[in-house]
Amino acid sequence: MFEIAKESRFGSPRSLLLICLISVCLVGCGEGPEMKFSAHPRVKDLMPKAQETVNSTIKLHFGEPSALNAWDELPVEFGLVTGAVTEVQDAGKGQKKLTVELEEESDANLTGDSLQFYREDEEGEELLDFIRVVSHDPKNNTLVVSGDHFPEAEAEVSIGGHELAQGQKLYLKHCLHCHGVTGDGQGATAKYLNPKPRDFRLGLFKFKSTDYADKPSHADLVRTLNEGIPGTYMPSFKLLSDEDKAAIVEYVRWLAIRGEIEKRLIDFFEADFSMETYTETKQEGKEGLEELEQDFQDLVTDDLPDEFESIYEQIGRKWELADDEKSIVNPSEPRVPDTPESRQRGQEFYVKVKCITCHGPLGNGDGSETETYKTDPLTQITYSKPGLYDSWGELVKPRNLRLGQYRGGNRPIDVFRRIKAGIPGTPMQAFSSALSDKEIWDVVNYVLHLPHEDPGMKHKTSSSETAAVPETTSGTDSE
Amino acid sequence: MKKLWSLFFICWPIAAVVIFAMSPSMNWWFPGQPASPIGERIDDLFYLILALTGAVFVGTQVALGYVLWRASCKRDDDKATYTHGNHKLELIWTVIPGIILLFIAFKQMDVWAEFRIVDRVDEEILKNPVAEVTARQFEWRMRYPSPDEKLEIIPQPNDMYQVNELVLPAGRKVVINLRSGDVQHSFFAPQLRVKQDALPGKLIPIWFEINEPGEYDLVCAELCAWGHYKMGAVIKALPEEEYKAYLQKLYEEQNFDGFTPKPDETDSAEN
Ligand code: HEC
Ligand code: HEC
Ligand SMILES: [Cu+2]
Repeated sequence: MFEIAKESRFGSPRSLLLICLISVCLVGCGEGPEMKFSAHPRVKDLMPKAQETVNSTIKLHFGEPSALNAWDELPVEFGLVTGAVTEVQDAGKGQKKLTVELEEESDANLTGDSLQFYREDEEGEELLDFIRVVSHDPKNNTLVVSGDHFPEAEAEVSIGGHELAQGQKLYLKHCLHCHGVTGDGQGATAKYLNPKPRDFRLGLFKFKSTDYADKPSHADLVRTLNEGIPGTYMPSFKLLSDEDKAAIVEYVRWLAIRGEIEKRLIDFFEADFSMETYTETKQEGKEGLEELEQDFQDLVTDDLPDEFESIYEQIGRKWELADDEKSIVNPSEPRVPDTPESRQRGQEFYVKVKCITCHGPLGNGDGSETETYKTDPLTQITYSKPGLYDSWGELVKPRNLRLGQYRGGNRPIDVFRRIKAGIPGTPMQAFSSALSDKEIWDVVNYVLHLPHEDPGMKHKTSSSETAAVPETTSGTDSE
Repeated sequence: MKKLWSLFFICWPIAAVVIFAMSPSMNWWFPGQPASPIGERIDDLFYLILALTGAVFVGTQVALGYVLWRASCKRDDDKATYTHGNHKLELIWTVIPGIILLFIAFKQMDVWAEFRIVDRVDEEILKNPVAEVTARQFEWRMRYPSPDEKLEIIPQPNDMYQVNELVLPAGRKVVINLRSGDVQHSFFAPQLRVKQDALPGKLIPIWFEINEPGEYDLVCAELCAWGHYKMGAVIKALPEEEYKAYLQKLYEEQNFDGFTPKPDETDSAEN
């Protein structure tokens, strides 16, 4: 709504109206509370010290919505420039002025970006730290920075974040109200939607061209933005420019990486330092508690740095790998011609590999699995409602295959990939080991034909289908 | 003070004429030139009615100002004259607007018929809709028949799908089937001057011709829920040849099976 104001021609008769409008907006919306990344609810299951450690580690490496940290170890486009500090001067107010010699010429304005450097802590251990660029003078290559610690002369630094911030700006405009600030799928409209907007923090994506356990490629996420997810509230953003879409995708990847690293940190501490252990030990006496906290401290100093490094390296490598052409799931055989015989074979496989238990004998999505009670794999508690649950703990229905609606796309290759690589985050596993590519094509032919088949009859050819006569209405329905 | 009031009323017609005169150059006017034959005719109607109502507005305001001005020149102790009815005047101001209204009613009938009456469309065109457009919260989903096939009411195995992009041939009249996937929406193409509500459970054919190849807006003109403003799409009008080629390309894309024979494999297959 502020954009209207920007485009207005002040001095025209409309300006008065606009001023009224703007004041209404200012009164109506205000600045709002400052945005924050919220911690995963599971952090609360850890003992207090561990909660602090997880939160501060995540905050150090990723920053806050108003000040993102760019970190050169992640495969994300931050708009990073690297260089060496040549001079450090005091700039007062706890700020310093750095003169930096950049490795490559760059005309980017680095104001607001983060500066990443290594410093030594009291024990002489090398430590990663981030400080913020308050202002940037590109002519002299000087930066005024603020923070608690500063790099020394000759230190290697990398500065960036402006590209990610661009993606963030667009994300906040287009996706926030569903996917939330943290990418936790808890935007304001989320509670009215089914299925729920994706919580990116598990790093799980359903509709992509890569294998079950792999991340989506850039192209996959762009495709999701272009096509939307038909049958859900995820709309198409096709009309955004290609640069905008690329920037948003980068930010979504960053949110997913942030969330997954957080999750892995929780997993790391959960076994020995959960809230449960903590309260139990506390009841037993003070000594045990001190021991527990000492153990925790030892783990943090001895093992956490290495563990953290291996976590982000693993996750980063996975995201990088997804863009490798070799990661794309493609059939080794062309599509088997869509003949009644192929569909017949497809139907037999459909029964044999147990698609039927979820999708039902007629493909209506009402298989026996939808009536059995499942337990939450995390808490081991049986869900109160029967049916299948996804990795986010939500009830998920196997698709009614007779509706002809394919959330991941309706091209033969899309359905092939759904079957061969499964749908991550849902109970539908990959069938790459149960079926050969040729057999999968038979199943694809069978599945793609289901919507065009009379449910009462078995296997008809498409040519014999009767076309309905168009029913037309004349112009009495307009406003 | 009395003169001020007459001047006040005189100002309005002047302001109206000035504002209307400067509107086109200030970009307060129509969203571009009409891009369809029906749009041209709708614009002509609009201008005709604008001229008629404009003339009446200016005339009555000037008359009002004149009467006020003349009265304000009179001395205060002049007595008002009392009149009761004037048959002739009343006849005039009833019959003339009546004639004007009748004129407008007859004049617009043909444009309306062209726009909405099914009989005006060639049987051949009506029977071959080029696309089905389904409005849903908050996007436009299109379904095209595959090349050389007809669009059926029920989706067919070879149908082709697109979202937020409606590709049409330029230079000929086309029929589109309009549907809604959830609540009421409205198909509005401002440059084409085409607007039609999409009603849940109803299939409504609309037709128009796009004069020139190009890109035109498609928006929703019915407040359908909070995300109503997001329902923007693009109508791409292509020359006939390119349109055919586009459909063919879309067909190939939609039937893509991801298989690319490896060079060494084709070698061995030949052996
Ligand atoms: C109106 C709500 C809404 C908005 C706005 C929205 N999404 Fe979504 N999005 C969803 C829902 C719902 C799903 C989950 C669909 C499912 O699980 O099948 C989803 C899923 C996704 C996924 C996961 C796809 C996959 O393969 O698993 C991505 C990525 C995504 N959205 C990105 C975005 C981005 C980026 C934006 C902003 C440009 C955005 N979304 C805006 C509702 C929304
Ligand atoms: C354990 C239960 C389960 C089994 C077994 C299963 N599916 Fe699914 N399937 C699901 C669920 C759940 C979904 C919906 C996922 C979602 O979008 O959230 C689904 C979705 C689908 C879709 C829709 C994909 C899309 O793009 O919308 C197809 C097609 C499909 N399954 C085919 C099959 C076939 C074929 C088999 C057997 C080879 C099979 N499924 C086995 C649970 C299952
Ligand atoms: Cu709408």
